[in-house]
Amino acid sequence: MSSTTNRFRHESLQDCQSIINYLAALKDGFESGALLFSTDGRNLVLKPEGLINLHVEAKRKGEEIKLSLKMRWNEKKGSEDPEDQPLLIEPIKAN
Amino acid sequence: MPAMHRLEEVRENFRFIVSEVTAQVELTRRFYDQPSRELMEKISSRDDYVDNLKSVIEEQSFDRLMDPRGIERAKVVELRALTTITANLERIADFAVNLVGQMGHLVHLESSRLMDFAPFFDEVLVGLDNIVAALDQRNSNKAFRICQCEFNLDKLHAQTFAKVLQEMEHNEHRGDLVTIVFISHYLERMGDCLLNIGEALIFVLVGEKMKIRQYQALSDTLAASGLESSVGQVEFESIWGTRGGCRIAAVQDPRPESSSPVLFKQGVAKKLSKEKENLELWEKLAPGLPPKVWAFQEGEEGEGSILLEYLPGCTMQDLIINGDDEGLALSEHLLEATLGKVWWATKQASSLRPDFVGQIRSRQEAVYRMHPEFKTKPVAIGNLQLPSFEGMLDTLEELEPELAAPYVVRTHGDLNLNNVIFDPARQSLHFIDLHRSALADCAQDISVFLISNFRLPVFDVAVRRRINTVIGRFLAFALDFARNIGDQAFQARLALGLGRSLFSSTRFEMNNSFAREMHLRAVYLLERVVAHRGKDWSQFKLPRQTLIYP
Repeated sequence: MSSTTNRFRHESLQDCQSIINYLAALKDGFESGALLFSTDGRNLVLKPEGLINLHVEAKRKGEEIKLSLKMRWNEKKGSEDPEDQPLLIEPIKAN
Repeated sequence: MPAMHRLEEVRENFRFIVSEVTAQVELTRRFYDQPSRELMEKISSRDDYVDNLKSVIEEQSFDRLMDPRGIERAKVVELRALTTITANLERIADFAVNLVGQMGHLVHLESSRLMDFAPFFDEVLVGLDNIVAALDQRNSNKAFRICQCEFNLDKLHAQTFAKVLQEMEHNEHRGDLVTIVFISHYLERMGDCLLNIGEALIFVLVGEKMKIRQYQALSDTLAASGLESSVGQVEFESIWGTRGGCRIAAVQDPRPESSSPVLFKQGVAKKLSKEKENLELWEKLAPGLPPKVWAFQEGEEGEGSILLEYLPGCTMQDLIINGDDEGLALSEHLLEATLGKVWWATKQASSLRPDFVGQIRSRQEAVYRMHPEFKTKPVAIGNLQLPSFEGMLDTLEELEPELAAPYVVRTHGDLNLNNVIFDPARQSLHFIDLHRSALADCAQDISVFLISNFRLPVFDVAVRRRINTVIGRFLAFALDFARNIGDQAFQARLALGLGRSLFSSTRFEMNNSFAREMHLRAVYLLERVVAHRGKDWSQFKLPRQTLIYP
């Protein structure tokens, strides 16, 4: 039985080869429009849409390297999506 | 001049304060279930009584210490511990009052139901419950259990904190959430007091001031004495009991012609007799390598005792930590020469199926007791399916027969750094604790040895470099041996063995981040073996960087 959750965390060690599987899974998710994260049957489904703020940060501190990718976006309620609204241009009324 | 108080009077008041503080914590727990003004007043008035008792115990102890007729050292030690414990008990009672006060800050009563504080109270009460028993029965297991409360309470506090952070996102009663953190924090501070209490008790029982974090070192020392090696929670406790009961001791050889000390061990006759058999076997294989057996005796009810040659020198672990590079290099050389010789001399064709998965399974409970977060569930990221740790073990179990060792050799059975002694005077190497020695897969000894290096909780750059060098050299030696003997699946089997040793070593490691590091590496190694399924095992390359830290 599956339920939903609002948080997903997973930590593991990977190498240059095995990490590709993770990146590919994310790539597929963006392509299909839905990213599924699940632990023990509890699902978090994200549907990226609209504008996505992408923050890329790379750091070298001695031998320690850190590369972080952060994506942020807002989930919009269906009817408020500006794409769905007709674009109206109205003349400015003269006084 | 005040009357001289006898130690017995101090002990009696001490028992009073323990039961008083226990009652105080029990009342606080009841208050959480059913808060009432009456109970609140009762708790705060009893606190005065605890304060009073503390003053009385201090006064009586100081009087006793000032006795002009003098006092035995053991009694000084006990009085010192009793006053330390009393001071910490009084703090626990204060925290109980604080806890009741915090409850008053909960605006919405249903908020208190958000968190279950019962496990905190249970843990504190277990600690308190063991104090008098530890002292009366001279039982260091119980003292250790008290110390453990601190780690368990820390964990509970961390869980509460995480849950509160999560609640913050949608729960409107944020003030209450902050109060819950305070409540959890007070309970966690009771754990700090219990740790002090446990350490004070260990001081009385073991006679040494010992920080509980040193427990690994102590168990290692005992392991080096050959008494017990792989130290699970239960086994570990038995070591403390053993130490407290002085069941192992270096004694002087009673024969007049000998002046060298011997090691006296007492324990289960069957196990000791197995050890004797193994020692004699190794003596034939490599004369002088194991300690000599001077005497063996079987007593009543399955008890036995053995007198062994006491080997002078230091363990390889000492050499690594103390930085004796010359001794270390020589001991590494002797170790490789010894193992190479013994392995070639004893190799027998076989198709021994590895049992690393079975070994992991038998240690899982102990690991999860220390690190419940290592019990992982299946995870999916998009279409990438990751099995739970359990699921991964199932797959590995199916793979194990494919990785069978083509040969068995005479193994040590517990080849960790502490079981290898180097005698700088004679420049000789010795093996101790051979009771698990068997004809088995050399990957077993190799992985245990490598991980006994890796898991040393020492982060000094120079020591870590030395550890990495020893690991690198020993691994090269092992790979060489496997290649020469034609062991095709060796690297994959070694990855399993290393994963097993990394996993099981976390049960001694209280440093959470180092334990996590070992656990992640264990999982990584095991995953690599799973990922190679269906391919040629002779092509499997052990990811060596897994053994290098940081």
